[in-house]
Amino acid sequence: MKTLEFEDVHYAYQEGADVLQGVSFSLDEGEVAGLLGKNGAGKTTLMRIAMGIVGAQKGSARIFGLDPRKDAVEMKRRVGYVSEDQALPEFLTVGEVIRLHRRLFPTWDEPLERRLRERFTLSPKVKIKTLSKGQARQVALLCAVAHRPEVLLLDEPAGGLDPAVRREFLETSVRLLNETGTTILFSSHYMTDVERMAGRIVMIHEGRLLIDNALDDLRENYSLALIPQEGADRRRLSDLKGCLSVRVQGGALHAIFSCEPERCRALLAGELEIHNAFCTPIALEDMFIELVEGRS
Amino acid sequence: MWSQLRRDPMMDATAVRWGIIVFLNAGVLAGIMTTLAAGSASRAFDTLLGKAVLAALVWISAAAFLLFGRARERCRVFDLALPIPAAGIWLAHVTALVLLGLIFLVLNAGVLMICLWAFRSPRFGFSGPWEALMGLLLSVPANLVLVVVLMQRSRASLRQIPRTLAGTAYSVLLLGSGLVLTILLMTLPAVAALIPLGLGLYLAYRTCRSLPQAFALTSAKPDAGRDFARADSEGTVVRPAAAREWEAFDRAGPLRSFSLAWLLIRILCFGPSNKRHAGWFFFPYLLLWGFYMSGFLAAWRFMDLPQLSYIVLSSFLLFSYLPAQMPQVQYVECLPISRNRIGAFLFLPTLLLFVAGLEAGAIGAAKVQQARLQIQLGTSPTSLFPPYGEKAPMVRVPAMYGEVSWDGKPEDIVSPWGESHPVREYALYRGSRIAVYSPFSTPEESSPRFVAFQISRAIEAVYGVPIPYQKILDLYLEVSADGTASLPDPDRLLADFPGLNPRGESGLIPALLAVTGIVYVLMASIYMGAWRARVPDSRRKAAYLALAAAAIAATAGQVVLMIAGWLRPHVGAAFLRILIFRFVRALPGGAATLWVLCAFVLLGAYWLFLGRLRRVEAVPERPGAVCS
Repeated sequence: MKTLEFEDVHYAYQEGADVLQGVSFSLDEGEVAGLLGKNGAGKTTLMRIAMGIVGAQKGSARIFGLDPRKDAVEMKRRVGYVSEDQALPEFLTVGEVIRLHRRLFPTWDEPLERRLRERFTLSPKVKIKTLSKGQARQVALLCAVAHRPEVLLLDEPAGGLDPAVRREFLETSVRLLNETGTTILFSSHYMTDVERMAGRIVMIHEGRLLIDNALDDLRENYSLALIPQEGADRRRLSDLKGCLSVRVQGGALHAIFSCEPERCRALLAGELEIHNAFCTPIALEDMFIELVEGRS
Repeated sequence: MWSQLRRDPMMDATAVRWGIIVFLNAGVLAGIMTTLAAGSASRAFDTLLGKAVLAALVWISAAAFLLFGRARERCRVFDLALPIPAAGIWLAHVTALVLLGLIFLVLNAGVLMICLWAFRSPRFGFSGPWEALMGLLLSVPANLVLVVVLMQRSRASLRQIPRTLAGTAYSVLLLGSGLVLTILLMTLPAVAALIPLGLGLYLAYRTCRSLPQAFALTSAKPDAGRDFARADSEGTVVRPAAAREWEAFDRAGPLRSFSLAWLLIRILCFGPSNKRHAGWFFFPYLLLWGFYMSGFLAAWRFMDLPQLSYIVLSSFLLFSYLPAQMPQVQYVECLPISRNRIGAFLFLPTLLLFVAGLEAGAIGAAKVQQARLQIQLGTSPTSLFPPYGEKAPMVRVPAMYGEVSWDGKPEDIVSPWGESHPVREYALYRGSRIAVYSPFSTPEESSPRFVAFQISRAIEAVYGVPIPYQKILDLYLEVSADGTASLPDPDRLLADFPGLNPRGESGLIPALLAVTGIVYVLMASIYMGAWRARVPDSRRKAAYLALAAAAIAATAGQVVLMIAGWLRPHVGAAFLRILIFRFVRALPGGAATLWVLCAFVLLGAYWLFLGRLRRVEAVPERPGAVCS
């Protein structure tokens, strides 16, 4: 049984404007996956469906085989969740928020809580509303991880945080949990964070799954081809097997191929007789930009 | 000035919502006031106390608006970036508050006037306190200007007045003083109202002159609560103060086990950040409303209250806090808390407070009823039977002891010696064949012996104890020279016959509770349908406003039909009370069984509510954000 499973998930906030259009993927125990996509791609909706905050209109999401809407309590006891727009009750103090979580999670690890709160130098008497964004996110992280969740969902958890706090936030969560076999799905616009932490990349674009590969596989088996625009037919290029996207940039065509640079070069020469293409491995951030821009 | 006034934070939908709340409030208060006034033979408002009550009724809505609305916020953050002088913004905000306050006052006073006008007609024999109301015309606006200016002078250089306990206490004190001043001015010549008005305008001028060019976002004073040690890496030394705080926190005390319920109450009931103080106002108000609906005040004034006419209003009061609670669900949405538990914290506190008020009032009313003879003989128009308009010295009993005539032809009451009189029936509505009547009525031409006979029958019906009518005639009735009988000291009967205890409960309270609960659940269920992630916030507000409009229309419709003479709420209320009482008497186990039945009905309604709540999608609020 998969730990986290999405199957043909559809969701629309408005009639005819589907945010998710049949997304399917699953994560095994202990996997750390980065969820990528441009703004509006459907990442937050997918996370919310996983948490049972909204229900899938078609298809299903399951965590430990449980329905997040029907078996919400049992599921949430085993899941940690931090999101960029997650609201903590601003009128409560840090201590009260932690006390609330202690009472709700049977597996609450008090020594871990103590360790984290000392590390974050949180004061129990301070109200949430007086905390800075980073401090509030630290409280949210503490609450999300101190019960040792089996699945951790992080939706843009580091958005708006300074680099130091961001790194500490992510390293804390991953180090604490991944070593104990926690499955982590996190979305982020910081590719460096994703590359540092994730073992697998899931990219959704316009509500559909675009990439679902191991990070190492992406690094080794994907390449960027830079082709002078003169003499190259964009349509034929797009139709080539393995071509994921094509866009025009500065008088050249940028194409992403799901194969290593050598094969990419051979493919272009063999199929389209393009011999002056420059093929190179591609960094995750470049791949993200090329794919998003090329398919928009 | 005009454009700034239009941009003022008060000038948005909040003002409309407040307007509705104030309007409803005015209706409720008017109902209470007219009930009490009718019970005291309509002269209550000639006294200083009566005037004070009237002033408080008019003032309270504006006070609530100033205290719980967004009056603290002088402008939006965006306005700080515009080249508008702070004095202009301040003045526009004060003007907006005064204008909106005046609108609410006019609304409130208007509702009062309509109610008083309705009860003033000869049919009801009630003359309204016109002079007292006219006396408020100048004093209230003048005081409003002064109070608003004084409130807005606090931390005048800031964009918004900080929310502090001292600040709230200061506002409450000012609003209380405003009320006292209003009452004081009602006793003085009208020109005296110019004093607070002039003072308010002068202080406004002084404040405008003293303001800096631009508002500050926050106070320049450092916030002690933000003075943290920062942890940027592992191994940062924790400040000793924080460590000690955590030690104390971990020790927590014996109340620790109650903390979860208390935290959930705070989040779901008192959490709305901009409405927290409103919660402290709303819940006691609900308790008092339940107390009023129990009929205690009416029993105390020896009259019947047509509570059933207020069911929609009661349900709406219970429901009205739900829209403030629902956004709070997002705080617990990611936690392992079942919807049933969330539902209990959303639904039950309001209902339980209402029930507590209702029960406390019912117990009090029962005590009052035990201490007084429930049969009156007089012209005081204070009971449902006969209604207010009847002037004859009637034998009056609580409404539930009346009778229903389904064909509109009740039989005459015939005494053992052959004296008989036709009973006066009251049609349920204009043209209805169904009528209610009192089998103990004593028309004007009744002989004193017949009156005694009717009193004897009434006592047997209410208390189950037969007292010979001749004894009543000889010992308790007084007959004047013109042959009119009176019962000067009805309570002497209670002293002479200690066994006179009312025979049973009317069953009104459980029935009232069940119907109120059902209407509340219906309203809540309709509103819950708007809580889906794909439903925009504007649709939620529209759903709330539509329900509020329906509640107002249902209540106002009764008043309009009553004024037009089509509907007789008191007769309708009496009709229902007779049926409920008969049902209770027919039930094995009586009122206790009815309580059980009503509890089941309420439970069924509650399950319906939970079913709707389970489908709610409480998506976190992100102003201006697109859900993705």
